[in-house]
Amino acid sequence: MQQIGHRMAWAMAFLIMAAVLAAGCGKPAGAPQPTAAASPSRPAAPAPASFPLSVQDDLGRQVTIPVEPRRIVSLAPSNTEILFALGLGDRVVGVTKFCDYPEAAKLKEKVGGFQDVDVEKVVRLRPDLVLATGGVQQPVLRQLEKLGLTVYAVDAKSLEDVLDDISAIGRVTGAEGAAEALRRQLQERLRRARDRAARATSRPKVFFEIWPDPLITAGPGSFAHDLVEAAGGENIAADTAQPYPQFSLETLLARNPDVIVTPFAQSAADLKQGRRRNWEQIRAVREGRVILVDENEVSRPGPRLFDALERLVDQMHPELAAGN
Amino acid sequence: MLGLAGTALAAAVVSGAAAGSVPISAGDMRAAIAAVAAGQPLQPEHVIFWNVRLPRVLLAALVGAALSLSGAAAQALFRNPLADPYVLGIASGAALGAALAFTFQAPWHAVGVGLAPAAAFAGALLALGLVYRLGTRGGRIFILQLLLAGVAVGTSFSALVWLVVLIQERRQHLASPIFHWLLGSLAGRDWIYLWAALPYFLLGAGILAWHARELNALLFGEEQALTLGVPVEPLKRRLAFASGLLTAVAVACAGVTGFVGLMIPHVARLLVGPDHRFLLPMAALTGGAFLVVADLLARVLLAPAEIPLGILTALAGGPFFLYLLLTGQREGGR
Amino acid sequence: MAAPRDERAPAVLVRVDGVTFSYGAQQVLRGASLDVMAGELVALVGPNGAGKSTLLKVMSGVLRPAGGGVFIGGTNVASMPRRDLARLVAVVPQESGFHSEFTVAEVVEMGRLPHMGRFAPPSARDRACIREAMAAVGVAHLASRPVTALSGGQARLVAIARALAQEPRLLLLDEPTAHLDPGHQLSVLALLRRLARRRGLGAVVVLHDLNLASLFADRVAVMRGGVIAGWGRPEAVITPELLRSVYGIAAVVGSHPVTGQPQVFFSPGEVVDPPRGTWYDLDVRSRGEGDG
Repeated sequence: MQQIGHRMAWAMAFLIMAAVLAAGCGKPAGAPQPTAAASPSRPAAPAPASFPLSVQDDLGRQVTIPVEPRRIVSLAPSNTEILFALGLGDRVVGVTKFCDYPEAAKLKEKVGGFQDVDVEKVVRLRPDLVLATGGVQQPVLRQLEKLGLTVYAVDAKSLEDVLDDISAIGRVTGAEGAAEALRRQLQERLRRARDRAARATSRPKVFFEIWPDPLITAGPGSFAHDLVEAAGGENIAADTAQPYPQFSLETLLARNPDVIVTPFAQSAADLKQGRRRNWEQIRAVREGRVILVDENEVSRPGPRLFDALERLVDQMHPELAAGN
Repeated sequence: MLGLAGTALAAAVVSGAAAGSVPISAGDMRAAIAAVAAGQPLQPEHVIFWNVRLPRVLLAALVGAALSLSGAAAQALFRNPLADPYVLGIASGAALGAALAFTFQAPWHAVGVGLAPAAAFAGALLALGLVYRLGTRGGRIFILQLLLAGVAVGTSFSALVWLVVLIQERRQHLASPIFHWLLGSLAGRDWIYLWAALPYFLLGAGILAWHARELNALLFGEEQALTLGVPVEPLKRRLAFASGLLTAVAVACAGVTGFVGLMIPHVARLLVGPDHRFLLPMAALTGGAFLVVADLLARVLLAPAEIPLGILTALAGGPFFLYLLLTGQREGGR
Repeated sequence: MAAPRDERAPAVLVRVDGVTFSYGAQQVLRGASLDVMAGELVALVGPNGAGKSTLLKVMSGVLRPAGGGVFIGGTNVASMPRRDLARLVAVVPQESGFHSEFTVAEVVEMGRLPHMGRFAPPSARDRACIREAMAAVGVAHLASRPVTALSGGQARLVAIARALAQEPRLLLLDEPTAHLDPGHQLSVLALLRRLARRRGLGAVVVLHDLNLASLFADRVAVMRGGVIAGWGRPEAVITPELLRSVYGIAAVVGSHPVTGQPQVFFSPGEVVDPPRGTWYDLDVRSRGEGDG
């Protein structure tokens, strides 16, 4: 009786509903409020933290870090990328099997996947800090904590959150200097990209393809949405209530986007060569304005989001290149 | 009663075609149909109606009918009111096919049909073949053995689906399409899916219609059916095949859409009684109408986002089923 | 099918010839042989586990015998298409299996299944047959009643009506009087005898009540251990010796004061020789499965 199928479907239903609810709630109330701190007129780096250090993480948990971490396990590709960007690569002793950037990260010990973390392996690596994320990782996180490990979670929901998380990771690893430098640099790039986008004469309507069949797009609460808006585009799915909603083809046709962004080379090729039925009449397809992005760049809340943003600004506004 | 159900289906199809992100008037529909009939190119405003919405609505009707017929056949074959289209483990086979297709990331539209539906169909047929083989001994189908084989194959395939999902779960912040697929959806299904599904649907439905009277005899048990002149073994083989084929084609088109195949045959039975000559068409019509309405709601409730179909079928179906169970009387039914 | 009415020398309708059958390792039929004439009612009696139900299933073609065969008009039942066989042989099972909400008329109509086209509505002849079958067993007034709402006796009658609608030449009934009150028992058996006489049907009826068998059967076949241990007219078969050897009971056999048929008078505490052997073992194992 494929009740198994049903059961699975039900489990999924609850997961998705939970995700929708969670997305609606946003960050937990106890989370640090980043916006004021993110202002560019902020004074120089704060005084170096002294360990033991007690801080609140993105999930609102109070975490005490006894000593400056020397052995760090990263449970997300984004965390790994931030750690390496802060020059802490040699302190990283364990990463997920998806951590493939930078190259050096691939050589680190693998502690499993994103949800299926090999807890025993993490413990065996004797980390003095585990850098996790929120959402689906929370059960693992609690488990690791029970085993006596120090777990700090970041859970960025927006581009500004990523900047804050870089600061936060810098603080808990005793690398404030590097973190502030990186933060200022990224903040400046974000500001310049926004300025550039503001100078653009066009504000194209953009459809961001997350998955082609069933058709899934990016709504508010997703990095893809933030990137599109920051790059001076108008996300045609901005009125959906979910970060990754299933989207109807007829709405897509009716809203007729000027630009389609996809992380799939196959999709880009199909669209450019008119192989996708009923999409031919979309303006973006007719005018060949299909932008291929790196899936990892646009989905990991790390420094490379800003690379993706700069590229998107140029690709979405060809008139800027001419005028520059 | 059947006429009423036919009218309900027609009304559902028309409202399904009219409502959506872009409302379409009766005049627009007529104009679009006239243009198509005259072989003229479609006006852009008619493209949504003719190329996107109408085939999707018709496919919803086909999938609903297929699941309901499959469920009715399974309930007769297993003589168990809890049997449903997924009793043979077929949905898990389809899910495995789809999950594997999703690991190739982008779809592959070379043959006109997406890779996921094609792979789901192949997976469903593979599961059906396996279950069928395991449930048969010496050319005879043993019903209990078939049931157990369905459970075993379904469970194993479900486990494989999870394995595949886990292995490919590498995106930190992107949605997993397999979740959406498992909950059922008709998003983006156009004419080619309808044409691809139709022959299998007609074959499965035709087999069941052909054996409608014998299905009635089977309700008294295999022995009585035999003494009433029904060749029971060939009948069971054809029923398992037809039910499986209908499920396979429905799941390939619309993912795992639960509850329809379990509920609609009971609804039809409450309306026209147990005679399969009336029960089967009734189930097909009400199932079709039900899924068209469910898909309509899936499209408009959270528009422009879509709700997975399976959530709606269960949400709408559960209370409706209870209501019928508590108040429904058999109404002569011709 | 016009009922053959040979007045004088009734033709052999069915010949059961040395039938053997096993459920797995358990041999149930060990060479049972029996002839049934057109127009006669044969009572099949014997202890539990003797193989009565199994023999009936072999005769109806539900079970295929391992050896021997059942022949109707010279044709082996095992080689006949189901549909053809269903026009010759009808079965009234021990359990009606009426769990679906069909009406009485719909159930009786199913007896026409082997005669009707796949999609054709019932012909005038079909309808006449259905009416007549319901009238013959006296359930016409229940025609539109759902069969799930019938009493046990009514359900039995409907099953008989369905069998009659098949217009068979051989009628097989497995304990048609079980769970019926004496009035219904008598009326069912009287009906069966009447049907056999008037329509020239052969009827084989599994019975446990030896007195009823004696009163209504033209001939009695006694089964024991998978073979027919004795058969003939009731007065020749129902004897104290047979009761002792087959059932292990000592009983007095007298005559019915009106008809003169043999009647058995049991006494309490008279089991002299408890049944033993394979049929008894089988009974213990299969109790509750109705394996007579």
